[in-house]
Parts: sequence; C-alpha cells; structure tokens
Amino acid sequence: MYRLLLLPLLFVFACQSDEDDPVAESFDRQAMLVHWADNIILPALQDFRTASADLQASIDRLATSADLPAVRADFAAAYLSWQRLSPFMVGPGNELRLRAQVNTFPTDTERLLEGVRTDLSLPTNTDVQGLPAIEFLLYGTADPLAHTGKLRQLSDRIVDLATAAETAWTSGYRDAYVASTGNSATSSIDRTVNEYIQWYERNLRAGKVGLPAGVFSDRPLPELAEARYHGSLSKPLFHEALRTAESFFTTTPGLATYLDALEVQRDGEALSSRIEAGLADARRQATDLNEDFATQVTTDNTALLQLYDALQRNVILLKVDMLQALSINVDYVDADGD
Amino acid sequence: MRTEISASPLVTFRFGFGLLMLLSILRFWAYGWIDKLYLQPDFHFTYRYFEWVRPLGAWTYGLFAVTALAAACVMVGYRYRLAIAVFFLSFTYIELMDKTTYLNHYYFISLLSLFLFFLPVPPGRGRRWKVDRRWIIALQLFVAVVYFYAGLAKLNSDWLLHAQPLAIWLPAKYDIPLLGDLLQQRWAHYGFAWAGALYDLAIPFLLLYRPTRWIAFLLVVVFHVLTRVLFPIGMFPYIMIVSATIFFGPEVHDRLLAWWDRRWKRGSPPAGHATVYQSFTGWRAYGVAALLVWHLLFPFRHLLYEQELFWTEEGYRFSWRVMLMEKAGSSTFTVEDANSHRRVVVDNRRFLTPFQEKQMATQPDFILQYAHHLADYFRSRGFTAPRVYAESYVALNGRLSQPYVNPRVDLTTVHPDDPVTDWLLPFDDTIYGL
Repeated sequence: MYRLLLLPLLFVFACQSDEDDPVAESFDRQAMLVHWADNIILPALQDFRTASADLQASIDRLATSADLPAVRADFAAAYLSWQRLSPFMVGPGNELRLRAQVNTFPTDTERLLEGVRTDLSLPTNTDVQGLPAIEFLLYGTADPLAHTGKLRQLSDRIVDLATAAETAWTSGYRDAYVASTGNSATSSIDRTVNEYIQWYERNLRAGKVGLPAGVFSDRPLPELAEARYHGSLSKPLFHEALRTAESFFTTTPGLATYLDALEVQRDGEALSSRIEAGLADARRQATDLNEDFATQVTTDNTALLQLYDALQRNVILLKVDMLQALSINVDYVDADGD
Repeated sequence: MRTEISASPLVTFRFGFGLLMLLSILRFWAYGWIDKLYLQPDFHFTYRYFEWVRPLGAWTYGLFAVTALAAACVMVGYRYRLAIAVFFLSFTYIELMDKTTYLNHYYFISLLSLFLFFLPVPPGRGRRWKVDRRWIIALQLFVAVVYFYAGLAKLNSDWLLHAQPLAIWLPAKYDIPLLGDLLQQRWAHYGFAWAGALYDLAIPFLLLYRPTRWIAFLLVVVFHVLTRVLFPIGMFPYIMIVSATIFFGPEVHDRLLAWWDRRWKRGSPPAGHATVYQSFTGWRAYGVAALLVWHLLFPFRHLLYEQELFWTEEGYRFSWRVMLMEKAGSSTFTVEDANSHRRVVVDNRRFLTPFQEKQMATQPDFILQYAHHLADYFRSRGFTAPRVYAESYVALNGRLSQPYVNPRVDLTTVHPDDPVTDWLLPFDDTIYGL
C-alpha cells in the first residue's frame, strides 16, 4: 500500500535523476531563435534599410537629374524589400510602429497634398506617409517632380525609422531576443509567432486580398488595394509577402521543424505538411491574377475571393492548430487557469 | 465513536481559509486584474439567470475591499457568521460578473464559503467549543468529493489513452530546470496522466485513513507544488493544501493551536466557563445536508445531455473537471441586415478583450451571447433586421480543427435554452469515459 503511495513521489525523483541523461533530445529552441534573428529578421531589416536609403538617394537627385524612372525603380525595390520585413515586427519594429508608418494604405491623399507636416511621428499622420504616400506622389499625381520636397521628407522618414530599428536590433535587442527562450507572455518565440500570424491574418489575408475583394463589405473596394496607383505592383507585392510567409514557416530550424520534432500529426498527416500544402495552394490561386489587384476586383473578383478562402484556411491551421500544438497562446493573457 | 470533539479543526480551517482568501484578493488587486478583467471590457459574459450581476464601475474596488475585509474577519474570527456571509455574497457576486474568468477553484471557494456559513465554526480562538464530530466529517466529505470527482473526470480516453491534453502542455514547459527534458518524453506524459488520475481518486481515502494520513498529506503538498511549477494556477494549490488539514484529528489541531498560543504568549482559557456544544441539528444541519446533496449531484448534470461534453460543454463547468481540455478556436462573425444590403464582418477586438475573445471562441454559450450582443449593437447602428452568422473552428485536445458553429444558422434566432444541437455542428470523434 505504501509503495503504491510513493509512486508519484518516486516519479518526481526519477525525473530529477534523469537530468544528465543525454537521451532526452528536445528541440533546440534557442538555435531556432538565433536562426530567426541572424539569418532572417536582421538581414531583412538591413536589406530594407539599404533599399530605402537607395530610394532616398535617388529622390535626393531628383531635383537635379529629373530621373523619375530611377526613383520609380528604387521605389518598387524598396516596397518589395518591405514585404520581406513586414511579418517580423517584434521588439523595436513594434515599439517604433514601423509597419504602421511604413505601409498604411490607403493614403489620405487630400491631406497629403494639403501642406507640409512637421511631425510625421504623430499617430494622426500615419495615413499621409510611408511607401503608399510615396507611391501616390510618384504614380497618382500629374507631375511627380512638383512634389520633390514632400518625397524627400517621406523617404527621409522611412530611412530614419529603418535605421532606428536596425540600431535597436544590433545594439542589445538581438541578444535579449535569443536569450528569451521561455514559454510565457513575453518570450521571443511566443511574440514572434503571434506577430507572424497576426501579420498573415490582418496584412496578408485581409489587407492585401480581403479588403479590396469586398469580403468585409457588401461590394469590392478597388480603392483599398495595395499599390493601386502603380498599376502593376500589387500582385508582385502579394507574392513577395506570401513567399516570406512560406519561407519563414519552412526555414530550418523553424516552425515546420519544431512541429515535426513534437511529432504533431493531424488525421494521419504531419501538421507541417498540411500548412505547407495550404500555403502552396494559396500561391497557385494567385498565379493567374492580374498584376494589379484593383483591376482584378473589377474584372473578375471571384478569383480574388478564392485566393482569400485559400489564405483563410491557413489562418485556421496556423492560429488554431499550430498554436495549440506548440502551446502558444493567442495574445497571451496573464491570468490564472485551472 | 466519540461524537463530541474539540472544535479546533474548524478553528485552524477558518484561519487558513480566511488568510488565503485575503491574500488572493490582495494578489488579484495588486496584479491590476480588477481593472483589466472587470473595468476595461465594454461587454461582459454573464451567467444565465444572473444577467443582472454586473461590475459596479469604480465601486468594484469597494466590492473587492469588502470581500478582503470579510476574509480578514473570517481569519481572526471576528463577527464570524456575519463575516462569512458577507464573504460568500461578495465573492460570489465577483465571480458572477463575468464568466470569462470562471475557474473551478473560484466555484470551490464560493461553495465552500456557503458551507462554512452553515458549519458551527467558533469565533476567535474557540477554546471552549465542542462540536459534534459529524460537522467535521461533513467538511472532510466536501473536500474529498472535489478530489474524487476530479479523478473520475480523468477516466476518459483522451486522458488515459492519449495523455491529452498533457501531451500538449508538458512539452511547452521545456524551460523548467531539471524537468524540462523529461517533459518532452512521451512516456512521461502518460506517467503524469495516470499518476494524476490515481492521485485524485486515492487521496481522499488516504487522507481519511489514519495510518496513511501523514504520508497522504505529504503527497498533497508534493502534488500541488508540482502543479504550481507546471501550470499557471494561481492560489489553487495553497487552498487545497490548507483544505487537506481538515483530515487531521482534533488532537493535531489542539497541539497546533497550543503551539500558537505559546508563540503569542496567550494564557490558558479562563477557568470556570462552561463549554459550548454544537450538536448536529437544526437549520445548520439542514443547510449542510442540502449543500452536500448539491455537491454530490450537480456535477453529474451532463448526463442529461447527449452530445459530447467536451465539445458542447453543457454541464462542463461546476463539476470539478480540471485540466481536461486544450481547446483552441477562432470565430468570425458576419452581421447582415435583412432589410438592406448592409453586411459587416466583425472585428472581435472592437467588442472583446483578447481574453474574452479566447474564451468565447470555444464555448457555445459565449458565442451565442456575443452574437446577440452584436445584433443589439448593429440594431442601434441602423440595421433594422440584423442576422448574425458565425464561421468558427475549434481544435480539441490535439485533433485537427473542425467547423464548430453551423455557419448557415442565424444566431439571433437561437434562444439560450434551445438545444445546442440546433446550431452547433456535431463532434466528429468519440471520447469514451465518464
């Protein structure tokens, strides 16, 4: 009888004697964080800082050279580079409100043209700056060259923000980020994955596709499409973003390897394969779309709605199934459970 | 069997309970949860038949202060009867304000404080008090049922055969020193599951049986400390450890209280005073008996419903089902106006806090109440005939997520008393067990 009683106790002691047993091969979460920080997030940040500095430089030359094509090419490059950074607004990105200030659309064009704004960091000025505002000035106005001053102010702002984010990452945040390997409210894995999923849901699924396709309204709203003035950029931007979503999921060590290490199977199939298949399906749905989503919703909105559905299926797999399997809470709430 | 015994077990219990309740309230306050959970949300998920129980604005702090004061009075035994009545009412009011925060141990505290109202608990030090032994047995039974029922609930196929949800939760505790690596092992998940079920089922008997009592108490301490390390369960472990002291005989409590008296240099009881004796009769006995019947039967009300308990959660709360489910969900609501072509997809964060949204997504009564709230809101925004549809998915204990609410049912047409099968999709698996 007593022996039976002691079972759970023995159990606890057994656990302790196990500590130096090398058999227990658990997934190395720190290695994953190091990989995310050094091979994905930081390079994306540096790449975007460089791309926006290039844009800034060609805008600076605009007054003398009037080389609009060069500015436009640098603009597209910077916008594509932004797509590779956007999912990773942990830490400095979040604190600096980087995404809100770099890519809030649609731009309030009337207010943008109204005059010079001295303080772009004010939340009320979020929709008169960033890449969408530059896009409007470059493609939506009769004479872009007339807005050189404004273009310069806007591109300076982006470079300032990107530089500040990069500096914060390299001077301290990176080390804190890879050291926080726990499973709690503020730990790096939880924050990064939450940011990634939120970006996927709000920016990729809703922002780029759902809103212009009219999923959230009673009719399509082409004016809400990303890069609507450019005419052939919204699809490349979407593809770049989806590619980023895919590569972040499949990178090794990353979420797919983490799920596989935990042997997460759903209905006899690895959850990681299900998600990868889902992302590939979304990519296929998007191949034949018009380069311009604003055009697409007016000609054949069904195709965009189908793309939305494909993206939505993965929201469920990522947000419900994957988070459950990894025991990561959606926007962790600090309260007791039982 | 001697029926007249010292009331000392009740005195220690009263002190420990009061102290822990006081600490719980202060902790809750200090963490800022009064504001976060009761004042910040615009909307509250109320309990059926208790819809009138709402937070009191800034007065909610006053309510918590009253509860804390009552707990302090219970602890020292000042105006005990009034104090425990005030504690029961104010604490229960707090718990009824929003079911988002429902926890089994809050229900335990509510029920226990009502139970303590009926028990003849001495005020103050209670030296002269003698009570019928059956009062103590009733309290022991009350605590034992919680463990035993929690054990019965674990006798299901998910827990025993698949080690779920522990197989999801334990690997996430990789950061815990010493245990971290072990928690990655499959066999360890099964070990914890079976040991946990065995513990819950056996511990009441081991505590009741005198020869095993001390070792059982040691197990209680080890078990609850371990759960404290592994899971975010707040004050619950301490409450259960203190509750388990009721199983010790009066001689242990007498010694404990005598030590306490020496520690604080209290004199012996004044001589010549007659003892007070509380027999097991009268309104108190009826109250205790009625509560015990409730305590024994209410957790089985799920037998009245046919669907899978874990899926519909009809009869899940208030039945000592702890740590049995890992349920995650996502719900998107669409509101349409039947009289115009207006249609809105709702951003839940505009109406709910992240915590409320999380709880809502997996519990049918929350979903329904929220849908009706959305209908009211959009009616006030000019939708003359709002219809509310939900597209929702739920994953239960590591199964692939599946559709939850029937997306074709207009939830405004569903009454809270309607059978849940009318609008919830069936669970496409079977969980065997109690």
